[in-house]
Amino acid sequence: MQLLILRKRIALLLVLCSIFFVVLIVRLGYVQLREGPFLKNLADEEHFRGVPVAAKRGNIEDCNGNILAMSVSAETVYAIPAEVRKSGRQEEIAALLADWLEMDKAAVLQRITKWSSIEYVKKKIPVEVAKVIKEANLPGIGIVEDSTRFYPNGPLAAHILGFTGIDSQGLEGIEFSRDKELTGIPGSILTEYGANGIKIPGAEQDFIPPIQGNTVRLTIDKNIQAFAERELAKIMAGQGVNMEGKIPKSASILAMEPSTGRMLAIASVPTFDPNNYRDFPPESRRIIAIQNGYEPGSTFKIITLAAALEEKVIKPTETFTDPGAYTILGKRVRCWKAGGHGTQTMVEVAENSCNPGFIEMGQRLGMDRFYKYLTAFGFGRKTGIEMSGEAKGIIANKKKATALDLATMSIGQTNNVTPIQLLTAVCAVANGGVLMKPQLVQEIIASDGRVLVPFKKQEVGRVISKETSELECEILESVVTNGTGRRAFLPGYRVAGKTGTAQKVANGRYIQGEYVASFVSFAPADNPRIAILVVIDGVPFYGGVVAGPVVQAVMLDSLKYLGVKPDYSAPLAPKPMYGLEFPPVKEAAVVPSVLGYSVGDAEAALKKAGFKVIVEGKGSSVVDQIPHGDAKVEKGSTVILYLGSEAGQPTLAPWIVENRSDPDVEAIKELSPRIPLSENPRLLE
Amino acid sequence: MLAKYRKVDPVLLLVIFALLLIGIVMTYSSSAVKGYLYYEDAYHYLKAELIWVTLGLMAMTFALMLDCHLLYKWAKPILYAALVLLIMVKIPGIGKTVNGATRWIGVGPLQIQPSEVIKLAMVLIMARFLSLDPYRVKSFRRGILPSLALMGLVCGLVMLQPDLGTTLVIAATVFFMLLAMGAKLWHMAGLGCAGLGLLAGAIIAEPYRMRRIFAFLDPWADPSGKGYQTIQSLLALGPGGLFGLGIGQSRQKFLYLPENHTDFIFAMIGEELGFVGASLVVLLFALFIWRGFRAALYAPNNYLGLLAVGLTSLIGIQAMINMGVVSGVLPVTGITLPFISYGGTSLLFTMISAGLLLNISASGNSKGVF
Repeated sequence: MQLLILRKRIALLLVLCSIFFVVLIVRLGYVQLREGPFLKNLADEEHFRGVPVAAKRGNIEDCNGNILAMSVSAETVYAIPAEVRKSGRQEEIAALLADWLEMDKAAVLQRITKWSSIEYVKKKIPVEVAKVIKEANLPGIGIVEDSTRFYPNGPLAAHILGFTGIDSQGLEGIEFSRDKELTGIPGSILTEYGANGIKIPGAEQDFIPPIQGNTVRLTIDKNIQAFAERELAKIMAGQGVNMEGKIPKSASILAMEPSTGRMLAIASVPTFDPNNYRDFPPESRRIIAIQNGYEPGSTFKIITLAAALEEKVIKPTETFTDPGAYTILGKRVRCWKAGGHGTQTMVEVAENSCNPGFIEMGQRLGMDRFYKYLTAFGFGRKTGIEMSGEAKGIIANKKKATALDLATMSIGQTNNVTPIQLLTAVCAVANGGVLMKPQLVQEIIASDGRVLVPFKKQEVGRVISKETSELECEILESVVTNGTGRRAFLPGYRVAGKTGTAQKVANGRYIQGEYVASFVSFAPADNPRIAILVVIDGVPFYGGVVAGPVVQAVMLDSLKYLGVKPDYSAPLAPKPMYGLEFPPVKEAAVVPSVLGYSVGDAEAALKKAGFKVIVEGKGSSVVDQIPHGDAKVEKGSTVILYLGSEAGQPTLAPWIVENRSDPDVEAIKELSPRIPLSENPRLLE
Repeated sequence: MLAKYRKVDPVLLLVIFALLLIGIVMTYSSSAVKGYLYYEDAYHYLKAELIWVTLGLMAMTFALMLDCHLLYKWAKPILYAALVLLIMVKIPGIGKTVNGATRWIGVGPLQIQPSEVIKLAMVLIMARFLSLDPYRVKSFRRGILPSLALMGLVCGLVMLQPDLGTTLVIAATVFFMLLAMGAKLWHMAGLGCAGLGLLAGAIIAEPYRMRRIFAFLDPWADPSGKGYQTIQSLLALGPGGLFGLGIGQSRQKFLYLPENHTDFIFAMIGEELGFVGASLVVLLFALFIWRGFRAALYAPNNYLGLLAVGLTSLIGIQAMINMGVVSGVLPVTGITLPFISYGGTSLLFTMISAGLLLNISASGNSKGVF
């Protein structure tokens, strides 16, 4: 009896234990087999630590895919402090690294022994140093590939591109505004670590590749930008045409495609080199073409004329008599020409840039209509161009404005506008009457070449009718061909334009003898492909005299580069004006090629051939020159030399190769002995 | 004397050696990193383990050769000695506190864990008490109550350390012995309920136990605090999968899993040897329990039979609780896995218990007492 119970009881205990063992096995199976993969992920998350691998920052290209900003590999030294401490050689390692990296030993020691899982010692070190460190194989010290920003064209388009900081983050310009697109997603090298931060021997490694940043393709054309910057370089070197060696405070050249609002060039001086932006004063980073306002002067008369034509307050053929001044509210606003222009048609008023004529237009429009157009053309508000710090300009308060204010506004005084506003407004006149939003980004392209964001032109709104636009284009062409704008005349092309000379205001008064000389021009007048505005600030000269030749030079190079065919119906010479003498045709000379010469040799060779020289960049040999060798230009003109190191710093652009047997030049040669032998149209003056 | 060896249960002996061997290998594998980091010697813990195993084998041989009936006489003195040791733990200067629990006494390198002694003493005294009068177990007043009183005293002292794991092992062992001797089932059922009630009380009384309980139910609620050990244990078992990462390939031993060579060595087995290895260990313990109870069935008298049940329960229940903790079905209690966890008094007394069990298995006859 007792024995039987005991036997049963032992069996009961065995059953109890068996139940628990079954539960245990099932639980183990659940944890290890079913939940295994999930727990493995969690465990990996705990064990793996990553050394980040920076994504390659996307390039910035011009509209044809030429690289303006690129990322090149650079090495970064990092430390795993736990491993350094464990090795017990921290003093020795710090001393070696300090020596190689040219850093303070104490600072290095502090970094490599810091309580963190990973610590950067120094970023962007030279490849040779990285190799030395790699070969030394110091415990806890590693090298990871990083990238640094390189601007192969140096200062070209510096203001637009901007620059990046030490962590490759965009700080200014497109680098800043498109930082998100350019950055990409960093990857990492993952390795298993123990809880104490020591790498597990025989650990698995995992590499998560970074996702490269997108390419930002700009609307900027590298060549047109280069034409603009070349002219600015000349001006800043004291070799501006008709400038008598004077150097302005600042200058800008902007080029825009009127039909789309695409900016083809925005150049301002003073400028800087984004490769080492810290070496330049902060004010050189200011993009004055967008951030500075000025009184536009006569270039603004284009807007007054557009409004007057659109509202039909004038007829092109009606006559207006300029007595030399316009008396309003008891004040006399004088015409720039002493004694006035006498009786003229409205077209002639435009050609002569006659102040009383334009004041008359303003008065006929009246305050309401004038302000309507001011607003419609976008003055007093940002154009929305993709650059930080754009100025709004200042428009006189309409409620307080008097008839006298209306008069001065009609001729481009009183109001303050930015160069980009003015060019955008002129483009609206040129393109058939639609105000476009100026744009800088053509498209965003993924690293595999797919276009992520295509270009889309953005119309702000129609400001004048197509007929008015066409009429005004003709009048403005006439300004260049027959009037004050003749210094921008190009034989064989239909160029429209308007000069501008504005007085500068300081302390509420106009400064005597210092002007903002400007010239806005577009061509061909019947189907504008490009509009160019030149603003030269702080010179004692009139716009037509100093800004005209600049706009002419950029326009000619751009039209040829863009492949705009000469129009044989266009006049080959501007109408000679009374009292204006053509200077005698100077001797043409062939520019010698000095590529590869040392600076001294190159200067000597060019001076001997009768040229002035501007040297750009640093280095010992000439890597590029403008104009190129064999070009025929006016004797005594300027050649710009671009220097680079022997190591072969990438040169600027493939500069356009000018067609030496240009048909229009040949044609011009045939026509008249007055026409110069060179294609350099400056000889026309 | 030598004839006794031939009668020893070979299966039980084989199971014990298999568990010891797994213990040596896994102790080394899981302690190498710690040994290297703390003592600059990957073999540091292995060396100590081998010393403990040698001592343990000597103790086991001694227990195997002992005349078990001597224990019948020594049961009371052993109990008194064990109780004294247990009280000494609480004397400042003698007791040694680790992780908030005072479980060791001794000076310098000679340290023992009185709770290990009391476990064995408890089995000895219970076997003697219950076998003196085989029918007293049927009586609540004469059998159950005195057993409970003694158990209450002992468990109370152990809980003072505090050591919930050992308390549970002692209580369950006494329960098993009463059940095996033929205690009335409704007595046992009532006892079970009361026991669970006490357990609940003990858990609610000490907030740290309460938190531990909740931690085991949802370790991810506090992954870096109360749930840490359970999570790290699961993060060892999970990646092990079916066949494990291979011997020496553990990742969690790189200081992620605390106590990985002692209380959580079963997690290391799961990680390095996989579900297959872990299940093998579970089956070995199942086999141990089966052969232990079998030895009890074939024991020549009630005393030896009860002793076998007690010794088997002592080791078997401790193993079950430990494996339950590691796999996350029981709250973290802090007891070792018999034979396998790294050395110490625990291994020594497990080996003594195993020796006694082998001793009993050798003294059995084909008829058996039960």
